[in-house]
Amino acid sequence: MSQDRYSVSDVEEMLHGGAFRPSDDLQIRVRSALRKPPPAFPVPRYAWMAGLTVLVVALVLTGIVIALSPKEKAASIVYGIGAVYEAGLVHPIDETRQVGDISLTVDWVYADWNQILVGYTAQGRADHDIHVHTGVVSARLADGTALEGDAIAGYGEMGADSSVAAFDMPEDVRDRQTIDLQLVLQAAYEQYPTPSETDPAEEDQNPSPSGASSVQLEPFAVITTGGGEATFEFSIPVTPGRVIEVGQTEEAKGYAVTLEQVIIAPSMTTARLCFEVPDPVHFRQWFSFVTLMTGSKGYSGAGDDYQVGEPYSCQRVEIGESVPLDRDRYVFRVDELAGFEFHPRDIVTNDMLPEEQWRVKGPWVFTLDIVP
Amino acid sequence: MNQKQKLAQLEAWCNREMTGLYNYVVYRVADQTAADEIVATICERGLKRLHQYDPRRGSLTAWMFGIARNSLNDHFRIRVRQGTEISLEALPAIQGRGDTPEEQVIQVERFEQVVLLLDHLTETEREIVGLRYGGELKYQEIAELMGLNIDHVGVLLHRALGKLRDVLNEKEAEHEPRQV
Repeated sequence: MSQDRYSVSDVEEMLHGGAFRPSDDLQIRVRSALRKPPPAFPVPRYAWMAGLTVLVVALVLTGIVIALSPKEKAASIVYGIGAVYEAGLVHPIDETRQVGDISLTVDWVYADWNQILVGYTAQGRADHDIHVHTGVVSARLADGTALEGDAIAGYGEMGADSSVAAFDMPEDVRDRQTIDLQLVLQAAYEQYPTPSETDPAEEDQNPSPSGASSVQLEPFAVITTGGGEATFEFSIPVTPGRVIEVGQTEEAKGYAVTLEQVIIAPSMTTARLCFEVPDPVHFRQWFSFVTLMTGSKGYSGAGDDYQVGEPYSCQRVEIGESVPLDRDRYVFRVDELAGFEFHPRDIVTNDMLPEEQWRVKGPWVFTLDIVP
Repeated sequence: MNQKQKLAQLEAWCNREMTGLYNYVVYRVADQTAADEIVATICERGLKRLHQYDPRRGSLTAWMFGIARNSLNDHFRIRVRQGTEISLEALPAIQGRGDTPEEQVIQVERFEQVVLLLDHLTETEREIVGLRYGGELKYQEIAELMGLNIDHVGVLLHRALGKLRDVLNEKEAEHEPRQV
């Protein structure tokens, strides 16, 4: 009998020696899906029923009425939006348009020096197997300027879906007392023909094939039906914020970072940050991770920039939490810069594996003293 | 971490780890068309459920591979495995890891040789091999994801590799000239 040729180590090496390459089509598909904003999310039906049961029991036991509507839940998801919503800074609109058998309502609007927010709700048929999906078709100012942004948070339950859309406030209209906005929204029913999703712990590791072939629908396809588009026009008062022109450059670990401007507004803080990209060829998506300090409290945020071969990155950094406007000193700290490469690992050589990322921790610290 | 920051993190993760995620899925389904659909679905589901991700409870890698396992289980619920044999025609393009084109060709051939035998493993063994060599996850990550003890992962993995080794050696012996 001949001696065995292969050992376990050989098998391991053989598996390490190759990899399947995702097709360009798949990469484009995934990237374009990620470039879209996160849509409003449906609550899994069992979770919804369980949640309702818990709520009813809580009401019975405590007698305390806690009844958040979908639109309040949608607004509460993102810190900064929740803060302005709870502070009563949003302006109720409550205008409804009918698209098919779906009622589409703009619930409230809000604008400050950083962003314009719109809360809206679609109400349709309540059905276990479908949910109402909404989207922003376009958002324009009265002069035709298209606004950049889309839905950023949402809350759905059977037959209803509430979302919050956020748009960047254009710099040239920031100082106005009010802005006029034209918003086109769409709503439709969506149905996912796949079985309902369950917790990983409950999954069967050895799925039984019995009866499985009776499912005729293409897997993972989304079926969209009904609905349509509706146009809304309204004026939004602009809540002022604070613009801090900084223009400072700090150096750490051999890298210079320039903080150009910070805008603090009730719903969020933004900053413009520039730095020389250490390797614009191999890493094309650049992030900055920052913390804005007021006294001992810190608010974290991040910026990102995707570019090809540009040696300098200037990016908008966003801090989603509501930062106090009335401080006379802020400390803006850039904690880390990071570059990533999106190409699959197959184009790099072994000595570059496994990480396709470039990171350097600062900090780069900018002290912002506000002169009255 | 707010929704936008999570989105940026998810995008960066997908940029870095999509090849690993894709390889894990191909190890499980051994079919390019199905793998493409499943990976696209995993990313879409990750995006839809981003609000549920809590960095304090675990890494984004564990969270995304958890979604991947769910999506694969959905896939197997609605489709019976079409036969048991894995065919090269159904697999996606394979890239060899090596510094020269010659080395890469050899690595591709050796890789093909072993992945064609994945159907000799049980679903659990195939999953662990997929997570380790396709997804390039650490033992600890696999243990957390599958709810297993880390030693158990090592044992299962070694057993799976041993099974592949045995089949490889059997096939090798079949092709050796017999001595009369």
